Amino acid sequence: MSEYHTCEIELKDKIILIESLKEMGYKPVIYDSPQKLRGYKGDLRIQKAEIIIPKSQISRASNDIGFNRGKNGKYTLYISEYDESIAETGRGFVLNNLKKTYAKNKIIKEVSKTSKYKLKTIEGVNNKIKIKIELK
Amino acid sequence: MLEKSEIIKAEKDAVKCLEEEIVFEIDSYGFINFIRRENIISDDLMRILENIIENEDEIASLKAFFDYKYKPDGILNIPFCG
Repeated sequence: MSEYHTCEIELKDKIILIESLKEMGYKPVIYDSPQKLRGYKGDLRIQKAEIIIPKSQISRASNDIGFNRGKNGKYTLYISEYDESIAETGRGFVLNNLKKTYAKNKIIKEVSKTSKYKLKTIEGVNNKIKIKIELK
Repeated sequence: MLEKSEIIKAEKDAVKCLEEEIVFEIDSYGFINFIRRENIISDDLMRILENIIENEDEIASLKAFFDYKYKPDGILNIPFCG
């Protein structure tokens, strides 16, 4: 049985988190209250989350991946040892890809909320995302 | 000697010039590099950065950077995700 690891991530915006997961190709399931995660055999684990990527969307031997908001507003990520190990090879759920997508979407959202600035360009260069903004 | 209105205009032009192109670069780890040529920032832009960063400690560091520090390369690295 692959144990779950817990990691507090510096992400607070639920809508952007969900949008970013969708942009990465997942269909996260969102619950009003935290639900138990399932291991690769379908067994229920003690870890609970409000936002869950079902294991079937990751790989055949994966476990659910979950996100749960803490009292400080930051999300905690629940990911199994197995899923962490395949992420190291660039397969499955890669946390850094979520951070990149989230950061991009957060910048876009905050810039579009203002009346003074607008987006100029968004481009991907050498595994980086470059966003230029300018005065309206 | 410059008239007051000329000084105000010159200040506005300087700020505008500084903010003509603002670049955010997100690296492969999800960190945001906010690239500036000068250690000057407008309140509007600071507000955007505060909302983007979401981390009170980092916001304090950011404000300290623009208040007290000069960094010739103009690159402020914001640790975005822990």
